[in-house]
Amino acid sequence: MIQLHKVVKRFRGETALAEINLEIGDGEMAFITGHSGAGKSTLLRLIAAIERPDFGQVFVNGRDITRLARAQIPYLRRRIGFVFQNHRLLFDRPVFDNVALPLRIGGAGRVEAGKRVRAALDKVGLLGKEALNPASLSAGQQQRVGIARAIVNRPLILLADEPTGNLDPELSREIMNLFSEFNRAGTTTLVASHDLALIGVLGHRVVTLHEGRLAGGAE
Amino acid sequence: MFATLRLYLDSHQMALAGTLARLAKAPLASALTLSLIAVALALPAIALSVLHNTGALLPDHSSPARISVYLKPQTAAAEVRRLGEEIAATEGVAQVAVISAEESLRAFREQRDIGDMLALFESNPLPAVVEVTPDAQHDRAPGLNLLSARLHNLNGVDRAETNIAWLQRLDAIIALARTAVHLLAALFAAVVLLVIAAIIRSETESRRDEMEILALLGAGDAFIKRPFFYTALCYGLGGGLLAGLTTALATAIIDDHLRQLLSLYGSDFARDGMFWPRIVLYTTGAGAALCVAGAWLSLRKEKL
Ligand SMILES: Nc1ncnc2c1ncn2[C@@H]1O[C@H](COP(=O)(O)OP(=O)(O)OP(=O)(O)O)[C@@H](O)[C@H]1O
Ligand SMILES: [Mg+2]
Repeated sequence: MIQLHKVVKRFRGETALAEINLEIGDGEMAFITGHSGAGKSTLLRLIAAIERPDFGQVFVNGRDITRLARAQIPYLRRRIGFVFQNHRLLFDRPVFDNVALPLRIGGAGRVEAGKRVRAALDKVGLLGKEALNPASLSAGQQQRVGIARAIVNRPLILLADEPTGNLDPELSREIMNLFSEFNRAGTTTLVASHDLALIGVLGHRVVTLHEGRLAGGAE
Repeated sequence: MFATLRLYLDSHQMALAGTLARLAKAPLASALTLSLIAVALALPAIALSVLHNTGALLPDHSSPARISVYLKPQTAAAEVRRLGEEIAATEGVAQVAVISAEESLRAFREQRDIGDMLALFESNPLPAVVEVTPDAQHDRAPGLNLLSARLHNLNGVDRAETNIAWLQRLDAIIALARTAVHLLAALFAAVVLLVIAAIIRSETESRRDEMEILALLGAGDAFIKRPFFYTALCYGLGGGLLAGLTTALATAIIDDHLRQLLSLYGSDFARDGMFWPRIVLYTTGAGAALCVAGAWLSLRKEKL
């Protein structure tokens, strides 16, 4: 489903990712770990074509996305659910509208959208908070709104960047279980996290990055 | 097919609703912008409308040319008749009407003030006049001026005056006014365009985050820019509507004065004013087109 081939990404001459070769199979679930600044976020962002690599190729669902035309990128992103490290919610509208954004972009009908938004909020335990402004929610609740928004469109691939960064251990576990559940339903799932204790318990593949290089789990 | 169309319209409806809600959230700022657009549209619209209504004065008008041939004072009645015949036979003359000194006097007596003044004279001070209608080859300069000079040189003629000298002067003034008004209109169109471009620019600056997030979630260019086009369209339609109503009212008032002014020249050249819904239609259309163009101008380089 996802293949990185000799991917190099530099920011102003500083190498963030060096010669990464990685393959994530269809329907697979994997964790990406590594110290802060190791390149976890950058790796995920390359897969959603938010960043473009300096060298190498990134294949998603069989297509080399580094060669996508600008106008094609939205279609790629609509197949990917992305949980951002810093949530990236819109605070000028209620939770419901935030979660409904991917559906509006994809052009879902209103009734259908309502159903799906409530289902997604139910999964992250926020049913009943649709009408609230995300600014009035706790950091952990905002994180979960971001997760609901990522899954509402039933994406082909789910990318999550530190989705449990602001959650207590119990809630973190629940959220990770939720990702596992999605994965069992067939969604290829890639989660960046440095919660090694939790990752160890879940028993999925673990890819380790160290200073922009693969240090384990690449096979 | 219908479902797709429905979804598409749905998304437009949501963008429009979002825009209206946003405008209503900052009523003062929206009202100020709307008034600015309205004024910028109304000024040239009023000028164009007045120009349109004086349109009968433009070079394509067909008021008949006349030459008034004043005979020397105290010319005998028989001589007046003979001169009338001579003038009628002159090349370029289509028709003549002889007005004797007595007839002139009678006409003047009917105007009270002047009539009283005439009583001071012992004899009739007014000359006999031959009103000449030139033929088709001589009813415009230079043929008209040639004919006028020819009649002036006849023995017994005091002077010959064309009635369209002032019309020609007016034509020149109006041609000048027309150029000025069109320049003014172009200038104000540019003002509307640039104002909207600046407003949309600042709007995109303040909504940069939202635009970025939408792009990250897979929204295309059209989807992201749609609300801004709707904002511009709302300003254009609203401002245009206001400008149209203002213009209709202003032209109605100005038309009255225009008619009075032109009646001083003894004529009723003012065309009927435009039907007011048509004015509103024009200004609203122009406003919408200019504002959408302005939005396009400022969104053109936006790359997400
Ligand atoms: N937009 C950017 N501009 C410049 N440098 C960047 C940018 N994004 C990332 N970097 C650099 O690339 C390297 C990898 O960053 P990245 O965000 O991928 O790390 P990370 O593993 O996600 O870290 P963290 O655990 O703190 O989120 C870092 O050195 C970072 O400074
Ligand atoms: Mg990161």
